[in-house]
Amino acid sequence: MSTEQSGTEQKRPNFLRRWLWHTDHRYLVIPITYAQEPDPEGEGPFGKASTTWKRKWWDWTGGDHASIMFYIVVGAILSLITLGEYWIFTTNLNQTPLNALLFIMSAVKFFMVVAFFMHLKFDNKWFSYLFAAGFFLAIAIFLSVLALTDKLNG
Amino acid sequence: MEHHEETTTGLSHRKLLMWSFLGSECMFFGSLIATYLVYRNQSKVGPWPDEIIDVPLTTISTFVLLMSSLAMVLALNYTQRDRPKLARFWILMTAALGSGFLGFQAFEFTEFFHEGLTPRINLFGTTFYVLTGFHGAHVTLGVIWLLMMSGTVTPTGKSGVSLLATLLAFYLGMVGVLGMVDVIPDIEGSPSVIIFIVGLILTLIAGAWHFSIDTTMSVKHQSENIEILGLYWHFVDIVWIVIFTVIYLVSANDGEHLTEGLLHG
Repeated sequence: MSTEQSGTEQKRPNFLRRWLWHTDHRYLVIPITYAQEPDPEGEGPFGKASTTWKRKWWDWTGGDHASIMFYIVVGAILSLITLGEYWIFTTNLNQTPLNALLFIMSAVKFFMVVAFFMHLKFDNKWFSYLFAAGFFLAIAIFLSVLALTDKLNG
Repeated sequence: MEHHEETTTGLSHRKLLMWSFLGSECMFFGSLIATYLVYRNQSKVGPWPDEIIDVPLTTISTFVLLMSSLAMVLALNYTQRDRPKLARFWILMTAALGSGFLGFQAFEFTEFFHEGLTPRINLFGTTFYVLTGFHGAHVTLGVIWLLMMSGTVTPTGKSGVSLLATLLAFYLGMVGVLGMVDVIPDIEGSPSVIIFIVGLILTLIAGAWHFSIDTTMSVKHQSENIEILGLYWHFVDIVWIVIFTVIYLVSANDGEHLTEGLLHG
């Protein structure tokens, strides 16, 4: 299932890739048995963190699940971004860069919740595809409505 | 994530259904947000956003909802670890934080109403109440679902009675809070403070009783149910993340030029 279980030592993906991509890279494969499903008990939020020093720092409760501390860190980052949004709002930035910054921060929060709290990063890719289908249709509807009412041109 | 009954795809069909539903909900809220933006700055009469929107207060309520998402993911984690007391605690904490968010929204709606913003007064009022109202309805449904789910991870009998007592005491305390912030004007002042303190003490006593009852039950079989509930709850959170940016942060200063125009023109 994962590289560590194959018995041969393989090069670990880099930090960014581990955060952005699914751990076992099975994008279009529907699992036939349960054993082929991505297994969060074995994966953990940082890949096989149990074999590294991170395990001791991140995991409060032991066991093989994603650690409680990981979720608390994600929650803290989300809170800090919210605080940052408020701080940026109170500054005297011009409206255009202000709005751009706010939308970027909002998007980061959105994808952090979806990836980590909703477990899309750890779960089967088909769930991601289903949600992405609705999400991009929503974006299309959103832009169409704005275009039809000339809002995109200001 | 949790093992489920065998299906043709090998995936949990209940989770597939929930993800499909959430995809459709994206379109639902996307349409409402687009409508808000189409009618942004189109109101002919006030009140305008810059006159009534309270960004610091909404930042706090956004924080409360974010923390409820954290509580929800901890509830799922402890359910998967088969730790019933902690799972129950975090489910109830999620419901409590969700109720707190609804309290903020009730307070905000009441304030806006007193300021003259009704759903029929102008386009801002119409689009604002429809969008945030539908979101609030989703949160309310989520809180009811959470409270029902807390029962499924609670053994019946003494433990159930103590849980009910804890919830009732908590909501008594919430009535006190609502009185203090003037959402319930009839009990304002010191009576509401007394109600809050009594509710808080009773919550602590009933909660301590509830968590002192030694129960041995497995909750791991509820993992998928809690996970599906969690998906719904986190979705409600991400919708609010967008609403907070679009309505409160980006649009908070809308109306300034209109007001100035009326003053100088």
